[in-house]
Amino acid sequence: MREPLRVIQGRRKGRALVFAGKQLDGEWAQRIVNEHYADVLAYCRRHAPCAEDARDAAQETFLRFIRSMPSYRDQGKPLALLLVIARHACADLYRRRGRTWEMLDENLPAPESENASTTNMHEALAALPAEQRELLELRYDQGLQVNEIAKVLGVSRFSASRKIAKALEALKTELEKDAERGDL
Amino acid sequence: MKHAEKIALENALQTHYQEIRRTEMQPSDQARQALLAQLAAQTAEQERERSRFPTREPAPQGTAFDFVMTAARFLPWQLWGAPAAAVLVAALAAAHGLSSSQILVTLSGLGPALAIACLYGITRARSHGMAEIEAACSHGSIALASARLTLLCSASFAAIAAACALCSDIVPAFAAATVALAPYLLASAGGLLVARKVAAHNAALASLAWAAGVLAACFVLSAACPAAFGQAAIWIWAAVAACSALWFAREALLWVSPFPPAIIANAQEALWN
Repeated sequence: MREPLRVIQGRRKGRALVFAGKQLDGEWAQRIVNEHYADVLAYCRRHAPCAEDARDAAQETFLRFIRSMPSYRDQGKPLALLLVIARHACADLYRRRGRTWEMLDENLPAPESENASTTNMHEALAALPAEQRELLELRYDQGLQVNEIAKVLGVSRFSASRKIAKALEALKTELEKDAERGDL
Repeated sequence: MKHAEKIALENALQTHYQEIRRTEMQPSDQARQALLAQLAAQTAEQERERSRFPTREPAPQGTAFDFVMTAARFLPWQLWGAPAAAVLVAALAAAHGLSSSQILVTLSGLGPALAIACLYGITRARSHGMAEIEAACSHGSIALASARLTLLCSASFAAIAAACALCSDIVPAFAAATVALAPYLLASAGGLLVARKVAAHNAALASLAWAAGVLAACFVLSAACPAAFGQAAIWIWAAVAACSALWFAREALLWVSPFPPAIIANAQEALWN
């Protein structure tokens, strides 16, 4: 199994850019796209104005990521930086369209499963504020750690942890409300 | 929320997202991914070529002194208040006729207090995410970090020297200097170390916490073991100051190093895992 990519150095060393001991080259860029395209597209689908825009935002994200590498100095998982860029790319799309930053519920892909618990979860998530939905998505869909989420959202680690706990509480309340409605 | 409930909810969320992921990826997305991989490869090659010929403008002409003086203008004025306050405290302590051990306790507390101000000035750029912007400027982030380190440490050393001179009638200058310098160097070196090792946005906070810990330790030591501030213990303070000076020199060099050693990458990697 190949070891996951990790940005060890994002600066010039001699005349080449070095990442995890390898030069920044076409093969490296292809590997980044192949490993993270599904994650970035999933994020953009939930945060871009429409499905076509989501694909454009995902493409723009990877190109900005590769162009930013010569001046990138921080270290960590590439996915965290990719999601920061994707977040800005989606915001840019809304700005160009003159709309506010708001996730459109109709763009959320409805699960095809007949499973009632999955449908309840979908409805409960839709009832949460956009910020809480995004936090849960970053934590449980993208699998980011709390410190990575803090970097993506530009908040402190403590604040991210507190907000995630609050979002889980809110989700639990929504699920209980759904269950009560179901009983009635 | 109970732990078991939280685990169940987290599992349900992960299952929900996996379900969505299974349904949303379409064949057209896979074709697009393949095209994007090719485009990304081309872009990476172009960027690599471009990086061989940096377009950054050369730094403006001027001496290193001019540069340091310019950097001083951009430091918050509050940071200069700390050395002035340290000298004032030493002057008041000397004027009130405190005993030699009380003077030594005061001087040992001044060191970490100065280090707190010094470390805040040095680490705040990293904490506020300014290093990226500074790296793009014509002088570079390393020159700026070096200038800040030089300015703030020089101010701190000058303040410690002045404080020792003011108390020289009560405490011998050598004893005063070792007792003041040891905690200062210990707080500064440790502060720089933790600032390098923690995540960027926590750098200033972590280094200040370390320096505050050293300050608290000095006062705890004075209460728990007053003999530590007697004349007999001065050589122990001198040994601690010498070791701390070496540690501080190493940390200062690492802080301004253009290629931080593997320890930084390892620490960051551990943080990201």
